[in-house]
Formats: sequence, C-alpha cells, structure tokens
Amino acid sequence: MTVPNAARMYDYSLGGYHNFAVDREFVDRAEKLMPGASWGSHANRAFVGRSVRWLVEVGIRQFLDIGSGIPTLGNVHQIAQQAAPESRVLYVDIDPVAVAHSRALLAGNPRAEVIQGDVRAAAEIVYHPDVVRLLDFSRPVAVLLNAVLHFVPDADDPADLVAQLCESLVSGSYLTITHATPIPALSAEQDDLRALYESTPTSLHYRTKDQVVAMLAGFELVEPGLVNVTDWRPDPDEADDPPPAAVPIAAVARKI
Amino acid sequence: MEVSDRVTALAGLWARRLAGVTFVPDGRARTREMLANVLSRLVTALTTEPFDAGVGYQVGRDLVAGHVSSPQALGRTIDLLSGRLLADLAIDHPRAVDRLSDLLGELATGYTESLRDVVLAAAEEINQAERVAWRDQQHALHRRIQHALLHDPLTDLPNRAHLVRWLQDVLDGAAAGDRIGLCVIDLDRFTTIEDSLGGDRACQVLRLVANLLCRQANPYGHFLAHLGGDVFAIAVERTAEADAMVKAADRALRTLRDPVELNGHQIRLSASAGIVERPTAGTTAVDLVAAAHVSLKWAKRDQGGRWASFDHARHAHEARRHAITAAMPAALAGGEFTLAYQPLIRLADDALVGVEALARWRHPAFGPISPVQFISSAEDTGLIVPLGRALLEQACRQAVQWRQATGTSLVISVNLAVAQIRDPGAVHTILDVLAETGWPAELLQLEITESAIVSSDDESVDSPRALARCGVTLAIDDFGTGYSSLAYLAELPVHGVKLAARFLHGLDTATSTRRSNRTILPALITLSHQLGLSVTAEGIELPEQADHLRRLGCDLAQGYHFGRPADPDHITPLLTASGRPNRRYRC
Repeated sequence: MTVPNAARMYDYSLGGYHNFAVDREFVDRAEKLMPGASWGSHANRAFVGRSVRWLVEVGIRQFLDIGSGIPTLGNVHQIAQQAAPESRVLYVDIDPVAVAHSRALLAGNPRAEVIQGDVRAAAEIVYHPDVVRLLDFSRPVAVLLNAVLHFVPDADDPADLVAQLCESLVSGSYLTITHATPIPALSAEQDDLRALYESTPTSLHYRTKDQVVAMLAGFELVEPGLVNVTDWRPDPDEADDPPPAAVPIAAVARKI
Repeated sequence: MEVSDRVTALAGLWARRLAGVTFVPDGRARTREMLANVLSRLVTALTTEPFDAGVGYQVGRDLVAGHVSSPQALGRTIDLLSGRLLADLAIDHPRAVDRLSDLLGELATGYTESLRDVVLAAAEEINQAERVAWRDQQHALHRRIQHALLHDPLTDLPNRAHLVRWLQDVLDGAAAGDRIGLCVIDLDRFTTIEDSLGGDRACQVLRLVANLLCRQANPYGHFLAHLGGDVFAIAVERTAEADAMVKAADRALRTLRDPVELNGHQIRLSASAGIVERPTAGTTAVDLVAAAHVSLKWAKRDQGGRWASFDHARHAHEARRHAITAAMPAALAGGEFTLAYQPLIRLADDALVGVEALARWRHPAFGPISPVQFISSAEDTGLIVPLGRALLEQACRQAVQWRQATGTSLVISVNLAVAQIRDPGAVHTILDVLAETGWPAELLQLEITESAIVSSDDESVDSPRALARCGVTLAIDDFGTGYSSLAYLAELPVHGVKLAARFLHGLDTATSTRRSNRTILPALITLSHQLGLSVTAEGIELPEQADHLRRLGCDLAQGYHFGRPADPDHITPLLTASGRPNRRYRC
C-alpha cells in the first residue's frame, strides 16, 4: 500500500476507484509531467476492446491475457463473453492484490480464471496447471501482451520471452502487443516520466517500432500492422476526436 | 431536423465531451445510444405534467451505472446540458429553464450519491483483495517454513524431525500385530571423501546418494529421510518380518557400492547400515531411531560396509556397561566398593602367610558386579586412581585390624592397574596410605601385570623401582601370558611372579607332549628361583595340583582348593592369637 503499483495506477487513470492514495498521487504527478498521459491509458483500453471484439469475430474463443491488472473497466472476459459466451479467458498478473481482486470478481464465472505469474517466467505461465486446464492449446489461443512488455528491461530479453510464451501455440493463434514508444516531440516529458517510474517496482522502457517488430518473429501482422493504438481499426464514431499526444503502438499478429 | 436526429447529434457531442475524462468501455456507438436515451428521458420530463424533478435524480444514478463515473464527467455533463439542451433540442416550454435547473440539480445529487456508493464499494473490494493477498502470502510463507522445518536443505528429503513424526504416526495408527522397520545408513569415511573432493563436490555426492536411495525406496513405497550430513534413513511400515529390512538395507548398500560418476570422475562409495525391525506395540519413534543408531554403530565397529541388526541382548549388555560406568563415581563416594580376601598359602607347610585383596562391588540395583567389568570401566574413565587408593587404604586398615585382633601379620597383596602405576603420584599415594594406616611397607605386595612394565628402560619402571626401594614387594601377575620379555626380567625391580592358572592345565593327562605344561611349569619355577624370584601358583582347585606344585618347589599357592575370596570375617578365624599363622591350613 505504500508503493504505487502499475495495475492500480492504470485503473485510476481509467477513472476507476480500485486504487490507493499512492497510486493516485503517482498518476497525478505523471499527468503534470506529461499532460494527456492518462489519455494513453484510455486509448490503450479502447484498443483492447476493439481488438478482442475483432478476435472473436475471426473465431478466437480462448484468450491468455498477460499483465491483466485490476479487472474492472472493459474486461477482456466481459467483452469476449458478451460477443461469444463460450469464450474462455485466463488472466495473469504479477501483483497478488490484483490477482486476489480478480479472483473475487471471477467467482462464479466458469470460463474465466486468474493466476499469479510473472511475464519474465514464461515457462511457469504456459505450463501452469490452471492454464493448461482452462485453455486447450491444440486449438488457437490469443495471447494478449497489452501494456506489459514496456515494463520488461532489455536484460530480460522481451523478444525471447514472447517466443517462449508463443512456442506452444498452434498456427492460427494470435498475438496482441501494445507498447510505449519514443515520441520525438515529447522526449523531455518521456524522460521525466521514465524517471518517475524508477520509484516504482516497474521501470518503464520505451521501444521503437523496429524493436517491437523484432518480437513478432513467426507471426504475420494483421492489417493495419504496427501502428499507433488509436489508428488500429479505429471506431468510426471516434474519427472526430482530437488525437492524443502520447499513445502506445499496437499490433495484432497471426501465428504462421 | 427530426427530433431524434437532434437527440442523436447532441448525444454524439456529449459523448465526445466525455471522452478523455471518463472511460466508457462499450465503444462510442453504445455510449451515444445510452446518452440519447438519457436525453429523451430528460426532454420528456421537461414537457410532462405534472413536472417530476425526480427523473433527474434517476438519470444521475443511471449515468454512473453506465460507466460515466468521474467527477469531471459530471461537470462537463452539467455544463453541456445547461448550455445546449434547450436550444439544440428546440424545447419550447414556458418553464423549461427552471425545470432544467431542477433536473440538473437532481441529476448531480443522483450522480454523486451513486458515485459515493461506487467508490465505497470499490475501496472495500480493494481492501478485501489486499487482505486476501496478504493472507495467501502468509499461508505460502507458512508452508515454506513448514517445509523447511521438515526437509533437509541440501537434498530436500524429509529430515530427522519429519522421520520421527512419520514413525510416530505409523505407530499411532498401527493395528495389533503390525510391525515396523527402520534402517539408518551412514556413508563410510565420508570426511575423507570431503577432504579430497572439497565441500561443493561433497554436496553433489550427497545429492547423488539421495537420488540413488530415492530410486531404491520409491518403487517399494518406503519412506526415505536425510538425517543430516552423510546419514540417511529408510523406514518401512507393516514389515512382514525382519528380513524385509535386511533386504532393504542390502539393496541400499549394494546400490551405493556401484561406482558413482561425478564430473567425469569415478567415485567409490561404501556405506554401513543399522537395522531395527520389531512389533509396533510398545515402541516409540525415538526408541526406533536410537536402536537403529546403536546397530549402525555396531556395523561401523565391525569394519563398516555392512549392516547390523539391533539385538536386545547386546544392547542391554552395552547399556548396562554404560550405566555401571556412570554409577561408579557415586559408588566410590558412597563406599560401595569393598574387598574380598583370598588366602595365600605357603606350600612347604600349608601355612597362611597372606591374602590377595580382590575388589568387590555390590550395586543396589544391578547386584554384584564382576571386577572384570568395573575395573576396565574404571581404567577407561581414570576412576581407577582414586578407586585404587581407596581399596589400598581399606586393605591396609583391615590388615592392621587383623594384627590388633589376633596378633597375626599377613602379607597383603593388592592389584595395581597400569593407569595407577603410570600415575605420577603413585609412589606418593601408596606411601601416604601406608603412613596413614600404619601398615609396614614390607608386608605390602603390589601385583602388577606384565603390560605395566614393558621394558626395564621405560619410565614405567621408575615407580616400581621407587616402591621397591621403600620396602614394598612387587610381583608380576599372570606371569607368562603377556608381553614379558625374559631378557630383562632379571633387571626389573620385582620380587616374585604369579603363575596364571592356565599353566595348571594338562597336568593331569597321562600322556603329554613336550610342549605341555608338565614341561613348562617346572622350567618356569626353576628359572624364577634362579633369578631370585618367588613363585606363586594361582587357580589351584584340586589337591593333586597342590601336591604337584609342592613337589616342583613352588613357593606359594592360591585357589579355591585353599579358599575362595571371602569377607574379612571369614579370614579372621583362620588366624590364631599366638601371633603366628596356623601351621596347617585347610579350608
């Protein structure tokens, strides 16, 4: 409760109330350093909604959401199961409080579960008994790595982690990634934000499009490819909205 | 423009104003639909009679329920609706402005009350999640601690505490007639292996051993434990018979004998095992472990590389020996050690010339304890020195008493252990006792075994020499059975020899080989006499033996024939008041 936490900070920036004072303070400070920073969270979340709805449309019924955070607004399981009730969703988060909260919310849902796991320990996730029990890896699965890989330092080799996570996926499975990216016009603000994140357990690492593409080995990009999150199959009703300054980049890719 | 189109347009604008200050998850289209619906209700309320401001309250609550739920969203909503609703939707009613104010006031109330409930519920949920996470963490920690308490850190096998618990559980749940077995395995010379391979490799060896034993134990469902260091244990419940444990131990020892591969080197191990197998009734976990360790000790003592089974008799014997040793100091302080006296007879005239004082101990619980047992225990613990002094004092006082009572002076012959002679204060102690008791040195004989004076140049000869100079008589006990060297017999400060009883064997056979005692005995007696040493024969049981020895010129004799070791009261009557021993002594 004394250290700001990525999951709770994200919840607050989306307007949620499942967070503590430290989390709100951090987000407010971030907003001051980079006005419109919270917009990035909204855009990211909106993308999650659009991409999951799209995945359901193309036939995916199994989702592995890694770095799922606090499961409130715009949940993967709510979106997926609203479109296709038989959809199964397995949430993975590193924070025990987020996991406990998820578990409480998912009680009674036979097709949605949560486990505690660290994206850096890929094998422990993929071979976890709960994961193996809920998801059938002989059928396509969508692995969601939204807003999580930018918390993994280079030393942990995120591309290799992605490879490990996707190794046992069958062809026709999907991978979704959103990632914070350097924006030349905002480099000073981004540096300030990165410095602010150093005071939390999760350090922030911006990566370029090329670096993110390198994580997609063995996958082919789905149109429109690796773009700003707000440009990925945008909601036509939102076309008139002013574009936010700093948003992550996003891609949905299909396993060959 | 149609009313519905205006509503849709305003709803779209409203949705755009909300974007960025509140996250509505369902997509812009759905948001717009919801807001359009809300606008319709507001319009209806504005133009209906009677006017019900309460519609605004409900709208406020519904907005929050629809995920329009941030403070800024409320602000923008009121701002938008108060500024544009009437104009954009072309509401034309005389009281519209007032009514709209009322509705928006109610909307704000409904919105904030609902938001308050949402926030409180969310806070409770997150706090609950925090508590659950904390509790789970505590449980996980507790489990890890429990595991660590019960498992060896190196091999992760159950540890000693775990084994004891397992054994106790089996014993508690056992049916009548059940049996249980335990085998404790110890690697032979493991410290040598450790020294030559180093600590890290040694740990690897232990892990390898753990694996090997696991593979042995698991197929049979046996319980394998690592008791620490290089000691392991296999426990078996409901054993059919003693053999079951022997087989398990044998299998384990054989597996460990196969060369073990470590970093390209071949290592040869061997192990010893102690087995115990017994009925579950009447035993405890601690008993089992202790018994297995006792058997392990026996296996190790017997060269190692083998198993030994627990044996009650052997264990009882050793336990008794330990108990005796432990009881000795108190026994000495309590005066439990006494002397029995055996007559020494001069063969020439059957006269009683002396007595050998023999240590006796009657323990209150164990009963009479043989000197063979307690003397060696006393030597092991060093108690022989104070014990020896106490017994010497007792013997001298008794001798003085006899003299005072009967006027007769006997030679008192007392045994001296190696430790006593080697004790630097030996001479001083003995002379002290003589002075205190008033017994003359010339009437004291000390019997020393051959091993006590090994060579004439040793320091071990210093004390005997000094004692001899003071007038004390020294005799070699059990002569001819130890390390004596005839070469320097002449130079030792001794006055006599006592021939061991075994020299009497074979005397009665009609046929005899040249090497029989019939040949040796006379030679020994002649040799001793020629060296100026008196000869005492021990263990005379038959009159024929006495006669034979008398014929051979043996000086003194001792044995059951002449009298068993007895209390002083039995000796007293044998002494006369005339001051001389009986001429003819028969017992």
